[in-house]
This record gives sequence, structure tokens and C-alpha cells, in this order.
Amino acid sequence: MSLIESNEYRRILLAVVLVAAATLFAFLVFFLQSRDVQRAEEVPPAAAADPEVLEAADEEDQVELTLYFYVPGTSSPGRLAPLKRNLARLEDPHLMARQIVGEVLRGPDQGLNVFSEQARLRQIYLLSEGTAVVDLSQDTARGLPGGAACEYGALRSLTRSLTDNLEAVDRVKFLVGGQDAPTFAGHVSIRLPFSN
Amino acid sequence: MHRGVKEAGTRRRHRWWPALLVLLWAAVPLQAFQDIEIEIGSQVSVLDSARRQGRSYYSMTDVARTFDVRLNDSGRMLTVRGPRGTARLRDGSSIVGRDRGPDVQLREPVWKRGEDDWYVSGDFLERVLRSLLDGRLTRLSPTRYRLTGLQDVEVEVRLRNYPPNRVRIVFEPDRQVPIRIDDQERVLVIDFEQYRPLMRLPRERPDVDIVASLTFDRLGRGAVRLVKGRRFERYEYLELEGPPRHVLDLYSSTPGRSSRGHAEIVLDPGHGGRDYGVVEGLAGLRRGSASQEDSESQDGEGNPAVPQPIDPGQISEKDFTLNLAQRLAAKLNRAGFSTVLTRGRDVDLNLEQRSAISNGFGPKIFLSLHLGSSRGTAPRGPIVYLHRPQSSQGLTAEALDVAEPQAGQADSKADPDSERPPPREAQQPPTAGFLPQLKPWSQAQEAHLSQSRRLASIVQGSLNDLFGSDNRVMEIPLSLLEPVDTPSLLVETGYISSSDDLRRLKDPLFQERLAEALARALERYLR
Repeated sequence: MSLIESNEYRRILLAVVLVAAATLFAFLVFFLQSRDVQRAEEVPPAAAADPEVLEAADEEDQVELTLYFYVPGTSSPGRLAPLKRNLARLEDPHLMARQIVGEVLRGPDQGLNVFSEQARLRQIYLLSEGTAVVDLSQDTARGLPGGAACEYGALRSLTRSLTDNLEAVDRVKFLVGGQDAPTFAGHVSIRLPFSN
Repeated sequence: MHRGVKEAGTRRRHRWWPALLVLLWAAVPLQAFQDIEIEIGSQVSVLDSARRQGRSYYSMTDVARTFDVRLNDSGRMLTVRGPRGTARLRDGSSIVGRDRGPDVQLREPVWKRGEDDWYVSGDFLERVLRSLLDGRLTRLSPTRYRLTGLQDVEVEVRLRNYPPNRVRIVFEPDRQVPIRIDDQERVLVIDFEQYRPLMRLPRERPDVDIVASLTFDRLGRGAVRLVKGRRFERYEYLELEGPPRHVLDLYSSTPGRSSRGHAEIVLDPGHGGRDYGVVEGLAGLRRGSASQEDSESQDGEGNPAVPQPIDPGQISEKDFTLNLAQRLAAKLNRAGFSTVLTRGRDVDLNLEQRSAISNGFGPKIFLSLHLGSSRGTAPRGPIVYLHRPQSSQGLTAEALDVAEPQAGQADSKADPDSERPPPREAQQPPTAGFLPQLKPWSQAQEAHLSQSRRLASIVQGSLNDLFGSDNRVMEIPLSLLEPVDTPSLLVETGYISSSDDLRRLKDPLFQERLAEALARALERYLR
């Protein structure tokens, strides 16, 4: 009997085939699992609070401010509702402005928020002559419900909340996605600053 | 002898089957995981493959991350939006619809593996994705591609009027590059195909009867949009070398007198093309606007709005307004008024182009049609909007009520109720003092505000009667109406977010009554 026909050879061959199959199986399992793990890690974290504000804030030292939120009306065009909210007392007006805008974008504690969850402040600049330049993300404009009244109400709520609470701010100029845009979300002109 | 034959046969079988097993073992992963590599600059990204029925598939999530396109999963359909267009994939179908260009058939049907987990065959990259991207996608091998950005080209634009019937516009790129001219209904779009133009527009004003406006649209790769004037008839194109020039001669019909006449009423169906406006069932999820998109390409991190497929029976603002404008135009024409629509079909039109078309026709009324939308279902009924000049804008009871503040509001600089806008004269527009002899476009509407108010009051009353509502006219700064040199309104004919309004708006009979109510109001104003 030749070597090829021997039982030992068959056993070796079987072992080789089994090892190959096991390797392939392990490879497939590992590959698919690693893809799932990769997917899970890609989930973006929940929108974090403004890190600059968090760093400067002292939980003990708070101030009660009146912020304004847009409330759509039954027979339009809606109104601004003043609501009191406790915010961290920050000496830097720039950080205070960031905090106020963040709170307005977050919306009222109860009821509907005209801004979507994707709304985000990109940057805010305080100019010496009393203009706050508020640069909002494209998603802020895109996430609005779509009507002209809501668009106007959203901008007015930010303007009012800033000008009423900050001495350094008399008017608010809006940018979208870092750009000077003719309109905020397709209707309301933001060519010139808003003021009270 | 018999044994010898059997031995020979066994030996042969034993020789080939282990080799076949090894081959299969090697081939399976090669076939199944034929990953695609994408070179982007010095980096290489990998699109992992998955196997289904013996074919390689690629995850759309990987594609979106690598090429920075946006996905929107709406059940059986996946919308892929890139800077230059949108494609729609349907689970189980190999046909891919595109908003620009014909449908494309892929080698394999699209596979939805799970929620937000879609797969496509490899030819998706070349057949579909390439047309959606801003940059250039080059195939190096079946499993390797390279994505390169568009080259910039500086373009000087010169303009000269040749009275009485010709305007010449010359594009002078810094090197020889091709251009493409897309002749649309009221607009000529000139783009530089494979290049991203850095445009310097001329200071000279064209003859507005031939060229109503000349603007640079930054959307996508960037293109020049030329709105035809009311007497525009045709154009001629000539390409010259040394230095490279593209010459566009635009002619009016007959010198002096208009052949198209002027329209008494310009109707503007809101939104259009890639801009859906608001869509039924998606209140709170706007779909971007043409004007908004102007700035999108400049925003490094901004992603374009994602239009989603509209199911049959679902209404979108862009379709509704076009339909309503056509009904209204027909009624007004029957009543003896001449009308013009800023768009007669589903095309992109930015705000400047809409107002330019109106100013080109010199109408007695400009009416822009829209739908309202809000969070929640409470707001309902029609709202007529007037332009409020920004020099006098402010938070007033007239524009937006402020509710009674709660007691004890601390750190508030002023009592909200005491706030009133400063008198209009107190705030001069920034242009005051400069060029006093010229009226800036941004103030064109101001001269017509009292007539616009009269018109608004009539239209709001007529629509309130129809809806049984008690809504008021609202004055806010509106980009669209600001430069319109005639009495003008923006009308939201009901809220898509209100179930009552929506039910009515979808009813063709009600649409007819709505057009009738608007037509009666406009007639009353004009007579």
C-alpha cells in the first residue's frame, strides 16, 4: 500500500482541511465582528455642552436671566415668551453670550423648540460698537420648521435674549456657516444686524 | 489487473482534490473581500466589501464617510446627496434615479441589509457617485480609485453694451478651459465644467432689457447665472484664443420697443428644483433653499441639505406653489390681466433671480406663493407677509408679540414691554450719504410699501374668508421682496404642519377656490 493510500495520510489531509476550514471560519467571524465594532464606534457622541463655557463656569455662582423663546401662535404669527433660567455667572461677556445663545438654541423647558437638535453656535464675536456677530451652523437654519414666521421668531428670540441681558450688545448680526448670507433660511433677510 | 486500475483512479482523485480545496480556500476571501481603495491626497481610504449571492457589495455608510456625501434613509428608499446632485436608490432595484441626468442601471440590485445599512455594487462609484461629487474620481484599477479636487481658474468678466440691441459679455479665464452654456427658460447658466472658477464680475451695468441680472452662483463648482431681460431674444457664442476668451453676444428682439410687452402681474412659485421647501409629514425638517445653498460650497464643514424622495400623494411646497401659480395665472388671464411666472417648471431659481425677473417685466403686482410650517400643529391658516425695511426693523407688537414677562426677572437690562423700535428716521441705512442720486436695489421695495400694505390687507382678508381664519398681515425683513420695484407680497397659503390646512391644501377643489380667492383679491386691488 502506497503512502497516499495510507490511513495516516488521510488523517493528515483531514486535519489540514479542518484547520483550513477553522481558520476561514475564524477569519470570517473576526472580520464581521470587527466591522460591527467599527460601526458602533462611529456613532457620534451626543451634542456636548459648550466646553469653553463649562470650563469657566462655577456651579455655585449662578445668575437668573430672562431668555426669550419663540412660541408659534394658533392664529400666527406667534410671540416671544420670556422665561427665567439660571446660568453660570461669567465675567467674560463673550462667554456669557455663548452661554445665552446655547440656552436659547436648547429651547424652553416645556413646549416646542423652534430650533432643531442639530442647531449649533459656531462662533460669536462681540464688536466694540455694540454688535454681536452670531455665526450659526448651516444645520441651525436647515432645521427650522420652514415657515417665514418661525424663521423670524427664531432670530428675534436670539436677538432679544442677547440685547436684553448683555450691556455690551445692542444689535446682532447673523452669519450662517461662517458666511455673510443674504437670508437665514430662505426668507428672512439677515443682510443687516437685528436690533431692539 | 483490476486492482491496478482501481489504484490508478484513486491516486488521481487524491492528487487533485486537496489542491482544489486549497485553491477554494484562497479564492473565497479574495472574491468575497475585494475591497476598493480610494486615494484622496496622500491618504488611502478603504471601502470594505461584503458578499451577497457571490457578488461583492460596498457599504453606503463607508461611501458617505469617504466621499463626504449625505445619506437619508426613508424606508425603502435611500437618498444620496453630493455637492453636484442627488441620487435615489431603492431597495431591491438596480435602477438609480438622479436629479440631474437620466436614470442609471447598476450591475446588481441595491441591497438594504438593515436600518441605515445599505449596500451597492462596485460600479456605483463610476456610474452614479462620480456625477454627484465636486472633485474628479479617476479609476486606476478595478479596485483602486483616485479622488482629486477641481482646479481653480481665475476668470475676468467684461461687459459692454452696444445700443440699441446687443450686450457683449466676455469671459477671460487665465488659461484655455472649456465652458458650457445651459439655455434655460429665463436663465442662461454658464459653467466651467472641470474647473472651479474664481470670478471677477464687471462693474458695468448691462442693458436690463436684455440682461436683467448677472450673478455668480457659488453652488457646487460655481456658475454664472444670467437672467434674461424682457426683450432678450437670442445669444451667439464665440471662442477665441491668445489670450483665451469666451464671447457671449446677447441680442434683444427689436430695438426700442418690447416684443414681449410687460406683465401686469408676476407670480412667483416659491422654491423649486433641489429646494423642495416644506414637505408634508416633514415639518421641522427643511430641505434647504436655493439662496441658502449659495453659501454652502463656501462652508468647509457645511453639508448640503438633503432632499428626500416624495411619495406619491405627499405634497411639497415647490410643487404646490407651481400648481397654484398656474391655476391663478389662468384665472387672471381670463379676467384680462397679463401674467408671467418666474418659473414655469421645476427648476432652481435663487431669490435675486426671482426679483430680477419681476423688475425686468415692470409689473403692477409681484406675488410670491409659499406654504407655512411650524413646530406643532396649532398654527393654521394663511399669512400674508410684507417687507419691513431692515433700517426700521425691531421687535414690535406688530411684528411679533412679547408675552407678559414673569415677575421678578433679574438682570434684565430693560423691561421688554417698554421696548419699541426707534423711529424710522432715526436709523439711516448704511448707504445714506453715499450716492444720494441713486436708489440701491435693497431699498427698491421701500417706495411701494404703502401700496404693498393695501394689497396685503385685501389678500389677507380674502384668504381669511376662505379659511375661516383671523390671521394678521406680518411685516418682516424679506430678502426676496427687498429689491422688488413694485407692490409685492409673500403669501403662505396655509400651514402644511396643520392637519386641517393640509387636508384642504391637498384637495384640488380647494386649490381651485384658493386660486379664485387670490385672483379676486388681486383684481380688487388693480381696479
